[in-house]
Amino acid sequence: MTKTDPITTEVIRCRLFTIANEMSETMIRTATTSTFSESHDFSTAIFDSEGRMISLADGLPMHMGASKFSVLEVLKDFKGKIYPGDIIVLNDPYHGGSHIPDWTMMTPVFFNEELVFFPVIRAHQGDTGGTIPGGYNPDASDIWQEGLRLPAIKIYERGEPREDIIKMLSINTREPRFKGDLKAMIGSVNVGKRRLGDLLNKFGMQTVRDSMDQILDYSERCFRAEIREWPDGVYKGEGYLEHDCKGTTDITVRVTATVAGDTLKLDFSGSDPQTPGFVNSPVPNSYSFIFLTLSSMIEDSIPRNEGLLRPVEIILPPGTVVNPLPPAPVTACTLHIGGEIGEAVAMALEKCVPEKTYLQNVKMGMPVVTFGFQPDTGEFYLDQNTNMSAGWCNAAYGTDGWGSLPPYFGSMIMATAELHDMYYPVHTIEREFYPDSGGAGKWRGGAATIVRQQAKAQMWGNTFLIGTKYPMRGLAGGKDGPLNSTVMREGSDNELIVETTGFEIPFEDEDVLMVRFGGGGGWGNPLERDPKLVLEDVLDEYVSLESARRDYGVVIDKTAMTVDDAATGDLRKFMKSK
Amino acid sequence: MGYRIGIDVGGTFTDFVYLDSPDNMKVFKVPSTAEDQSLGVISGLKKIAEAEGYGLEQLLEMTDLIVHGTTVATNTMLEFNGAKTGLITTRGFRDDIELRRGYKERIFNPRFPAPTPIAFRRNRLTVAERIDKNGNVHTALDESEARDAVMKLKDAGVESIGVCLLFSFLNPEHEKRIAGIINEVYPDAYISLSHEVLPQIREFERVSTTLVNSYTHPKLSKYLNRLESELRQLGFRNEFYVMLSGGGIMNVDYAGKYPVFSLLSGPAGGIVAATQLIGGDPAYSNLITIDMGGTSFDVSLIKNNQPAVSSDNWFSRYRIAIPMLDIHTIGSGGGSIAWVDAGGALQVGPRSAGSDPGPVCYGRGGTEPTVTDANLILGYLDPDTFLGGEMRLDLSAAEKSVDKLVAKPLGMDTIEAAHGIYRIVNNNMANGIRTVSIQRGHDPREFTLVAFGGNGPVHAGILAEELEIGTIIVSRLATALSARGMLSSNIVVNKMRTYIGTSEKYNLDEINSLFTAMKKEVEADMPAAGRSVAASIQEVEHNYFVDAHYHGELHEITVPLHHEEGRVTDQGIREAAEAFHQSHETLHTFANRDQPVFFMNLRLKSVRPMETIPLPEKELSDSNPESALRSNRNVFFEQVGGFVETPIFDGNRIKSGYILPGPCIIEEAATNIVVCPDQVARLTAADFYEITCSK
Repeated sequence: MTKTDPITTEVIRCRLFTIANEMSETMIRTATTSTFSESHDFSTAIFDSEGRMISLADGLPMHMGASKFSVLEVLKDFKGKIYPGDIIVLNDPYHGGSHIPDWTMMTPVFFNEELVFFPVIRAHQGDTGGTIPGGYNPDASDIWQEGLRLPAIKIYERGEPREDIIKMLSINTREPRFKGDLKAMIGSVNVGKRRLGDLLNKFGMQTVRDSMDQILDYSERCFRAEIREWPDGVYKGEGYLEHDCKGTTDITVRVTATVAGDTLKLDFSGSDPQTPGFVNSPVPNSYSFIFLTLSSMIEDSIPRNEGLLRPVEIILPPGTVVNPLPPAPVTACTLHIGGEIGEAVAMALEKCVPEKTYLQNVKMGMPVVTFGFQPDTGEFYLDQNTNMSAGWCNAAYGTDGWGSLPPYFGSMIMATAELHDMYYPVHTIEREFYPDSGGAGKWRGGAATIVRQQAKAQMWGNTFLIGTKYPMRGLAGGKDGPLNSTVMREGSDNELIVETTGFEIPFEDEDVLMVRFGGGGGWGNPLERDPKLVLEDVLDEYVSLESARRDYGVVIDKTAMTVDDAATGDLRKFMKSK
Repeated sequence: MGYRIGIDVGGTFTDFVYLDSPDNMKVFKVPSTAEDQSLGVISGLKKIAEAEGYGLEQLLEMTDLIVHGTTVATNTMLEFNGAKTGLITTRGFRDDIELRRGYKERIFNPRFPAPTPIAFRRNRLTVAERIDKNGNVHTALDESEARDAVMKLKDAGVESIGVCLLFSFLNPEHEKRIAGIINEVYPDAYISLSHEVLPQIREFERVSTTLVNSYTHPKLSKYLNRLESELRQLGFRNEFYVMLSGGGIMNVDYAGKYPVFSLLSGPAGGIVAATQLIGGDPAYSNLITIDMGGTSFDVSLIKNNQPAVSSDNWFSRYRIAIPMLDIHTIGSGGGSIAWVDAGGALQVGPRSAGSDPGPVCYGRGGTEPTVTDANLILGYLDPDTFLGGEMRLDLSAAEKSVDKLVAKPLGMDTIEAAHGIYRIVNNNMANGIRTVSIQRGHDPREFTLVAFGGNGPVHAGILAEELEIGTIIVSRLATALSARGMLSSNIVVNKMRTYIGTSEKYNLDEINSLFTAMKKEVEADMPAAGRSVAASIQEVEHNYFVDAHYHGELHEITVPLHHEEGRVTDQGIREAAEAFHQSHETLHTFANRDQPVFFMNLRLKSVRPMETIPLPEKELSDSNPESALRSNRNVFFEQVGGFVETPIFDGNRIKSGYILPGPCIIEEAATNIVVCPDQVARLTAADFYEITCSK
């Protein structure tokens, strides 16, 4: 076999990345629900005929480990029966999916009658049937109650739409704009197919295949080089989740990380058994969060693909929260316990390479979803309240936490208060950072918001709240972020402080919903933070005077607003001695 | 006709194009003066006066028009050295500029820092007030709080204040009142009001655009006022305009008040030039322009003579939601550095050696190989004739550096490595062109490629081949094309209003009264007709547009909205809806004609046309280029698998009508044009090169 030269390989790699991004762009511009067009809750990638991820667009990283299993499922189920013009979709967590709302769609790309690629899109649907609008059913006791289960099914065969199947799908959703989104997904994979065809025509099969091998080898080589730098050893870490909405509490993910030479083994033996509630994480989803956490530790110029997984051995014991057996419900897993899987990995590796480690979790539970009928038209609406989430952004070594959410949520764009008020019967009262919301550290955790919004018509709210006991954790001596709090009908006679869940909670006209999230954890000992930076934070009201003294050991002269160096030195010395 | 002078300040040089009659156009350049751009401007004007045999005052007295492209606002945002800026906003919404709607540029890199702040949180103050979504006052403005806030900002030494209140685009009364209070208690402050800068729904977009305006406001405003008054003192009596990012020009008052409109002042000129000069020929109404300089590669698209305009812009990590020419920039320039990364892959850029120290072959201390070094090794540049022989290039230094840092690590020879650099950068640029064309629903094969900038014409041939583009145009003005474009630009004032309605449910009276209000604003802003305004058309042309989308889509497409004598009719709405369906189909592959079209914003683009300057019409000589042949040398062409003896032509000696078959190289004063095998170049009567590609 002749090896394709590295220049051609790089040309092909960039081209594949451009194609994956063009698929994303197509979806953003054409989807008809704002979950996609505005919030970008989807990802696109290119896989090869063996189910290896070759290129990933800048989408939602938490989808990235999972889509591989979808392609493998299609290859297994339709072995010998995949034809040009097929479009295949699936969502079942026990058949190649991660949770019911995420639908994975792909189309095969052939060259000279040989299967070469699958352009793949995975997108979160607004509704997929099941007991509760929006898909998150905290009450579900099995997978059937979570929505319509789809193994790999063809919605197009040999270029012909299977209208019966499409109709079956569309009557199983409450989302009136479902067909528009389906069209957009189809458009996205078809764009990928067209461009990949051009690529094959230009370079030929063998060159493209050689290049794909080299692209994966390249990422593998980079990651092995990285791991080789890490101190060999065995490191343990745990991630915690308050509850599963069905009475199981303090659910724990446990991992033992073994670093040996250029390999990493992550053994999740000892993690808690699967629970009756919907927080169980099927294998594809567990892979995503492991992959996400490891990806945050390396240079972002290294391409994210299959090659990164090769140096890593992953053990997910069946029957646990990280690998549940059917028919356990799973819908919440793409946040929880997915996030806690990442947390466990980060807490283990913190003991090995603290400067590299980052905790990409969101202690979100589930945003408050409200629904009701538009006062003027009577039309049913479902409001995901994507304007409400700001918090949980940890500091990293060298960088304070900033912005709204951790980086891996960075492609999801929140709604603005103005459009949100315009489209739904609500009035946004405030959305602003509150003081001391970021965990103290040598680098401070990102601040978090308080949001208040007032109902302008009768509506109902669903939520699943966590982060009330286990906040975002500080690393390397940094302090944890604060806890979350959600209050429904705040200040009224009927005020409801949410403890674990709220389910079809009615709001009358003028009732207020208050959501206060916790901020990110800090990195490193706050007593080592530059006092000048602490003063800046106080001037900017991210940090209060009290916290400056209590958490950072920095004494600030209140009238001059300057650091009292002598008093700070003494206080820090005293605090360090304790 | 008096003199007309176009002045474009670039990073290295300030270019001048001037003429006193259509067929007497001259080009001139002086080094830019970064500290105070006006020094370079005035010194260039002095030299022009000298060359024309006048004193500076005499020249200025005889000058009808000066159009200026300035990077003062641009550089302020690139270097983050703007004014100390404050914000007054609605209670409860202090942090939108930091929240950024959640957006982050690097989703895998938690160490990627926050954007450089342009208004510190301590200077972002909130006041009790609230307009609701219907434009009604929900909470009255607490004037004493507003007063306190202004005093606080004044005491903090804030120089420029942005005011951005929720729903001010529906009801600007509170913003206006706060402006009144600022004028009362802190009259020296610069003020930017969000309902004036961007009267549009979505508070993040509005506050970000407004704060960028505030941040750049004092610098640009002072600069323009100083320059204009200096010109006036020297005796200049006529029109002085500034090039704006949307492709129009406006007077100093307006440009100084809205600096955020001039962030792309420089590159906009080049696109106008391509549209007006090259696109003036009906054969070239669809163009893709590429401008490759030392550090970056700018691509833009012109369809049916209309340059693509976008409101979806980020600049220095700040959201700028005003319509600007849609220029896609990637970090590929002549100075882009080639390097082999830890995993053994060759990368080119985005780091650049710029012009200082510049490529290794410049001999100014650069040690890392660049695209220009690779181009020299491959023979596209000549060490002795670069920039008309002004600078000698060091070929052996370039070879050594490519050999050491690229060839050896990759196990290749020097030529292979140089060719590798060339291929990688070409691929990056081709992908950049794909982004603005294919990803937006346009097939590049239906376009003509217009190449400018010092390095654009070196790479245009191979890019055209990669993208199967049939024709390439290279202007002889090369780097001065932007300055020339400024002299072809019209006076343009853009206004907008948010209007929420659908193609089935709309209120014509409301729509028309919004347009009437916008036109009133235009009247106030529009400069009086001067000498250079087209004599036949003294009237201002009002063009109506509407931003539309399908239900649930939150990206709008702007389509024309027809009116009859200024009034929008039912027919106009129907046509706009149909235009939207069609655009949606082109852009996104499908239309939903059974669905209503949702309207979001109304836009008014008011144009006062300037007198056009006709293109030169040179007499065509016979086609034999022999008299322009300078030499032959070996040049690398991948199409023929290696070096081949190639004729090199002296651009100065080429006459209109000459036909130059590829492979060949044309050496112009500011750039080299590489004509690939299977391509043929010809100098047209309008004095630009037309290269046709048969592959």
